[in-house]
Amino acid sequence: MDDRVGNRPVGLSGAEASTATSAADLEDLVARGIATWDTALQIADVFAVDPLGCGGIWLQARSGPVRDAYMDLIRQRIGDDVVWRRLPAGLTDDRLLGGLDLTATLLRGQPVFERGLLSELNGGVCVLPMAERTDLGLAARLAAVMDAGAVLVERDGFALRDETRFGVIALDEATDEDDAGLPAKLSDRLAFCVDLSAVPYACVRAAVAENDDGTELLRSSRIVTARALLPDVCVPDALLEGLCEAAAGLGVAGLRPIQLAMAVTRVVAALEGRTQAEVADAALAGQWVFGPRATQIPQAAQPDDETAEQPEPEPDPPPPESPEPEQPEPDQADTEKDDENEETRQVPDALPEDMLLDIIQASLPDGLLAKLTAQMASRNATKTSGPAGMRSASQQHGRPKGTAPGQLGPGARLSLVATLRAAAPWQKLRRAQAQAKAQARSGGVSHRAGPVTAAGGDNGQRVFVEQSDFRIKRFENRSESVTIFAVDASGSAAAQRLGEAKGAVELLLAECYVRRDHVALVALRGEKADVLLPPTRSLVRAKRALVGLPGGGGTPLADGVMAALGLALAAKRRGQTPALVFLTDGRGNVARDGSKGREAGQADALAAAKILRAEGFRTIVIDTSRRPQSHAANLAQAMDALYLPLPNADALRLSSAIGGFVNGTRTS
Amino acid sequence: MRAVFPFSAIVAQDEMKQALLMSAVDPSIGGVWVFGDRGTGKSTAVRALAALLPPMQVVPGCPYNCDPASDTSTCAAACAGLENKKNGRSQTVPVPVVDLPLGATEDRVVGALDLERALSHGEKAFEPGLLARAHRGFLYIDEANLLEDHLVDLLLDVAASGENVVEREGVSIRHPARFVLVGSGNPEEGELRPQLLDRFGLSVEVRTPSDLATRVAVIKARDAFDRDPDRFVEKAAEAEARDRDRITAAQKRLPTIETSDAVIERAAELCLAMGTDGLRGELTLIRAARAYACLQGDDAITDEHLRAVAPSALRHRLRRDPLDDAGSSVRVERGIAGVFGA
Repeated sequence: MDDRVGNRPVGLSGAEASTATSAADLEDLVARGIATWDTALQIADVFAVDPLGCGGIWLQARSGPVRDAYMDLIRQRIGDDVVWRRLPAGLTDDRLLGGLDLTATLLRGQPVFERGLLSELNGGVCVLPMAERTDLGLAARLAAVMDAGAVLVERDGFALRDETRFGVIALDEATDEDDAGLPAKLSDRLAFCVDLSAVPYACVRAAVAENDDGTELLRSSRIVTARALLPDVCVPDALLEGLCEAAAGLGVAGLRPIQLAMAVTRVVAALEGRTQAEVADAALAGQWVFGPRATQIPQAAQPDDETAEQPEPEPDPPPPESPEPEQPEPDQADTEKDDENEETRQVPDALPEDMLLDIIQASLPDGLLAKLTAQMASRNATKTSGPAGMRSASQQHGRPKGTAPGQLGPGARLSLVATLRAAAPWQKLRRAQAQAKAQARSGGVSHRAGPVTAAGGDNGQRVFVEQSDFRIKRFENRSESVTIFAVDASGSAAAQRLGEAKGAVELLLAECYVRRDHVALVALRGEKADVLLPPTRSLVRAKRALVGLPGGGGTPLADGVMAALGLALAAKRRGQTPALVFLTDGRGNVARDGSKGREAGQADALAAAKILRAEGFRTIVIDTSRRPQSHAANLAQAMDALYLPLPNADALRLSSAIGGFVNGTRTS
Repeated sequence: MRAVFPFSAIVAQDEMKQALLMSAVDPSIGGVWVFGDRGTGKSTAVRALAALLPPMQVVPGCPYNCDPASDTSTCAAACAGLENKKNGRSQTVPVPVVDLPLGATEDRVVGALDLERALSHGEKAFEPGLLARAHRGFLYIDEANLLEDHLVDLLLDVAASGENVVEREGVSIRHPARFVLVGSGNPEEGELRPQLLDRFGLSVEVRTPSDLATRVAVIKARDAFDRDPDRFVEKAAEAEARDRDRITAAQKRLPTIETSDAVIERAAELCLAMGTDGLRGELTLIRAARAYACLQGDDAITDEHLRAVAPSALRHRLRRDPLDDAGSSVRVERGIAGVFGA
């Protein structure tokens, strides 16, 4: 599918393009595209001067001519003499970090170390394709090497430190449905985030053409000059403080972005031919580094003019208190910078308060405010950058994930090369041992458990492989899921509705069975919730427990939510992916401590729902009341769950809705 | 040798620094688990520790860092028989702070046959691994929650027994491996296995400093270091020496410090109030308070000391209470206030 998209001009296939109906919209789209592209080019210059100091670029774009053009430009600016390597997918630790060189070791009869890709990258640029699929392990390894400035090798009998520093370009092709994205521990170390996904190819063509007339050469020489100047550039303390202030004002997390912004400030100054950074340099750095990382709008913020034009007006931030300068377009950053230069040739000892913050804020791209407001609304939904707990290691299927020592057995798949690699160093030794043994017990057959050998001695035996050499292939796959049903069987859920609820659950159970999901059942009845059935794959047991569930009594809703949450957390710890389904009318009347009372019962239930929400599990609330009222809907809202009123006598439709939801294709 | 950012020059992060120092004074506290925000200098602090710690004495030539003053008859390298040991000679070496990088293979962690000698001479010789190198020092695992399961199992076993037993490739060796385990990670990326978490005596949560002045100070220090590491280290030398003396003095004080029954009762009371599992909490709490008191230069443990170390010692031992959405740090504070009065 990616290929198909890649062959079309990318800009016109983007989401924005499809909504561009009128000519005016199209014009607007092109204007935006040009602005984005110009900024991207400036960033390319900065990165080319100091790829190591800037950490890298997080490049968001689908595969296609725009991205290709951009990558070509960066590469030209960096120069041919700099290492430029692409990390292939499915890279093993041997190739990434280094390890035993099998052939050379066998050939020379002594251990030979083969350097890993990361060591070979020293001083160069590491291109990380399909960055949205980067697993946490790879991200952590890259991050560790970037931090240490070296690969620490403790592998295959080698203990060494291989110095290496490099810049990273992460090619992120994530679409909206992709939930994972680049792990935060990696994106945190890359100064820039460039989003070319909405840039039409038309905007880029000019740049590519320009490329042929020698303008690029001129740029390259500018970059070389800047590189030479860079070590002498200093950043005045006032600017450093200003950057810290700006980062705090924009809610940029962590201290690393500030360090990156400092590095970028230096490069920008060097590109301008200065040895002392000025306000404009820091402002540009802040705009590029902090902009994409901003999580809040500074207190005295002026609502962005552009946001008013957004199709969906967002709730406005607090009204402005101070008048702000006119919002400049991003592509005017250059002119703005020049204006600044006139005013602030010399950086004073201390900048006026929030000066840098204001400049940076004013230059943030349009739409960011809207994005932030939306983000803030969904802040509570836990967004971890890598679903580590949701993956499990398996021996049989999934994505290959290296090898590990292990035993041969059912389900285990031997990795032949890794096994040979493990056996290689010992050949000489084992041969000598085998000979000695053969001599000692001439004629006797070796009874050692180890050697997998037809003959006892070394006669005719080429390779000595022992059990300890066995390397088993390991795979990683999406974990199995557990669907936890919490069924309200209280008196308020009328007997008839309980029957329907049971019917719906039964249909769902059948679906779970098909998917080999685990199911668990919690009953809300009387004074507290009971776990009728701990997670099981047995459909029969589930059905029996369900059928035998009598109705009546109070509605211990809060307790039920907590019981279901407990099961879900336990499942998560086992590496399973839980999903919760509540069938209730949402009228809790038993508090957590078992006391009766509608008010306390409701309050406790909503409190419990909020805790559940914080965990971010997939949750669904099915309203079983006869005439759907606000109770269950409120509960669903507190849980950030999907809300579905149980349609009369239409359990089938319900079950298909839930089935899709539990599977992860949210249809609401 | 690359210059390392000096421990004494680390701005803020007092709880983490304190925990590491306490572990240096009394390794039996059982290690430190550091978790929290990205880019808060977790790794910097641990790596800085190596340069700070007062050096130790080893039997020269012993690959297992044997203490010349102790009984070394169980040493796998038989260093008791070494000339040096017999002559009572000893060597001053820095306390090892060993990195266990992600992607390390099992053979390098536990030790294995010496490849070089096996291949070129056909000899069977044991090459000690990281666990041997870390003996009497620190073993640091960054991103401990991402560590391969089979390595975690291995570490759990060694950390519990203080001994590394190697049975592989026809080698059968055991050697002491007592080290302070320091792990760091971000729980959002996968939780640490409860068994491993339990091995850590102390746990500290690191956050990005929230006030501007501290942030500026951190960035300034880091920037100054990056631009001229040697000069920066030189400038911090005096503070380093002061901290080093403090550790040495505390280590000397440790065996003599007084632990009253009242304090032990208080510790038990605190653990009971928090509902921590098992006795490990109490034990760690008292040991940590003792180390802390020694670092403060006090002669006896008081409630104040208990109070100061309780968050680090108990934070990760609280039973999960899903209805309480406050963080574990807040709950510990609440418990302390309950026992000691606000």
